[in-house]
Amino acid sequence: MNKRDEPLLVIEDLKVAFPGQSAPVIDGLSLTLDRGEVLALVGESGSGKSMTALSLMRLLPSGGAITGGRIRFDGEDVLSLPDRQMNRLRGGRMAMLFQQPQAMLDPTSRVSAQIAEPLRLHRGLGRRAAMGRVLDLLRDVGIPDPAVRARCFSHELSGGMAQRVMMAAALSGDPDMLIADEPTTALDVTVQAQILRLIDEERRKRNLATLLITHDLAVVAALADRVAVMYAGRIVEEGPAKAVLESPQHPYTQALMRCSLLVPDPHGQLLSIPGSGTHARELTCGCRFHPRCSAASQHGLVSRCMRSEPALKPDADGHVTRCWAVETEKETAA
Amino acid sequence: MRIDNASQAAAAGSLLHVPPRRTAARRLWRFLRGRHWTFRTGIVILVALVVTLILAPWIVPHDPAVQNLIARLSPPSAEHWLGTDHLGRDLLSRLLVGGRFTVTIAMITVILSFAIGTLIGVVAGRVVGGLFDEITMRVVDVLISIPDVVVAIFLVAIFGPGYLTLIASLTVIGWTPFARLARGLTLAINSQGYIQAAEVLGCSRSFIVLRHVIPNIIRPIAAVSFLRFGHKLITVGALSFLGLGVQPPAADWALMLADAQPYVERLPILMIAPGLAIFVAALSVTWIGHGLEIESRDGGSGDE
Repeated sequence: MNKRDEPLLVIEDLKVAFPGQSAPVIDGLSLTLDRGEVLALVGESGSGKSMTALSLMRLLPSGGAITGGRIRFDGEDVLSLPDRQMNRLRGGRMAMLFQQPQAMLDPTSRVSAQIAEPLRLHRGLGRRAAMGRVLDLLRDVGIPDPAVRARCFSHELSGGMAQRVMMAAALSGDPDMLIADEPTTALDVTVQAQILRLIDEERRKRNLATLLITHDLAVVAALADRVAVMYAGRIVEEGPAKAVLESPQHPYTQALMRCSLLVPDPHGQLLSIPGSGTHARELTCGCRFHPRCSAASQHGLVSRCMRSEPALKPDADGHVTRCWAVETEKETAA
Repeated sequence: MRIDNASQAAAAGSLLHVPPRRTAARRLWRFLRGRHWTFRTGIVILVALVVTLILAPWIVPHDPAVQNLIARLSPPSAEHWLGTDHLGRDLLSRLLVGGRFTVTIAMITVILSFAIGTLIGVVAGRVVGGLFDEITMRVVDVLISIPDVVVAIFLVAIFGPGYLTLIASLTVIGWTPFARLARGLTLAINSQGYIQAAEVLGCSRSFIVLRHVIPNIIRPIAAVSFLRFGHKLITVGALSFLGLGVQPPAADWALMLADAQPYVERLPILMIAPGLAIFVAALSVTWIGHGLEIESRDGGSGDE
């Protein structure tokens, strides 16, 4: 069953749709993620990042359904697993961090009880043994006074503290893969760095495959090995983090870079991408980004970009881009 | 790195206060202090009432069933503190014993309705849109429109009066408001982050219902169950008044009211005493429910 030469997670041509919506939320997404690797999924709100993460867990919001494609995790076909085995996978082998850590903790039960849940469900530990592990985990994620904190309720914790608790709960099942869905977006800037460092430390220690979902390119630069940029439900650019951040190919990635504060604008202005991506999915033909794209007009490609959608084309070092402008540029260079 | 970690821990520590450990008694005290005054008053009255009713057989001054036709309709005296009724039975003794039946029936009915209704409502709310949800909610719609007194009259006519008949007939209708409320609250909880977090951690459906859904919706349901308790007290009283509940010569507040009707003008206390008893009992549970509800509306901030 186990294919040793295959990455831990393989997503092939994933399609996710909601009934009543004409266009799929995720349209033909393919990704791989290996042990110990950090893959950043970048894109603006509504581009399908979180839906990708929830598809992996098979926990799409009600109505949403995976309409095509395959997800293999450690050689197992995730989409065809029976519910009981899927529950063993969740928390046991895949874990997840969320954007609003405090909302993710049950206000009526103690921190210790919630961290202990996966221990008792997946590791079959008794109450006593689970409590011992909980204290170890709380210490691991850098919570001072674990014995006191374990007895707290969620409203007695700060945001950063709650995210550490979530991390402890996520790690308690001893997973192989961690999905972090904007884990620092709701936190103070000072706490963000601590949480990122924690994620990175645990990733190294446990050789965790990490899927980092974010729209913060500074976070990507700090942690990611590889970056995949999503727009309107599909990947427009993917490659090693260094290559994508230093020489972004796709006009959308370039625009994202300009908007981020990583690269200061020489005129001291805050930039934005004109238009919005909310209806981009409903375009029936052409590149989904073309209504907002500056490169299309610059290269005199508007009619081509409107008519047909480009494919993901690789360059030398595994850096793939979905753009006509990039393609024609390469053709003329060659 | 070492300095880094230490400063990080210090920063994290200073961000929050460390809540002191509390004993169960202290937590109970804090809980009570945080309630509305109606809750505390209601609790005091209800506890006093229940203790009195439990101890009643041992503290009654006279046998509540013994008649003394010579001393019938006598006004309050040193011998009979509240006087005697039309058959010369001691009013105080009958008053002390007379609430046992009604309160017991109402209590059992509410507990059963609460348990059945909450469970059905939560399950319906978790599988919303499913066949079970659709069927149970339509059943609730139908049952909720039938007055429970009518069902009780119907069942008593078939099976005769008694504890079981009354409890069954009141529960058959009584669970429906609980189911509806529990389903509504569950729907609101379904979209909460901690339910998603539990699913992501691989918790099974029944585990999520028992450990995360029910603890989060139990407060408002408890508040309503006290309000329903008061309602049931009066319903059971009404049934006894109609002769469908407690059978003579056993004493019952509502039955005493019915018996006192012809003698109101001669001895008003015959009617005032049992009437007040029913009123105070119903008021106490309603106050408890009201006090709980006020607090649970603003998210239970009075709780620790």
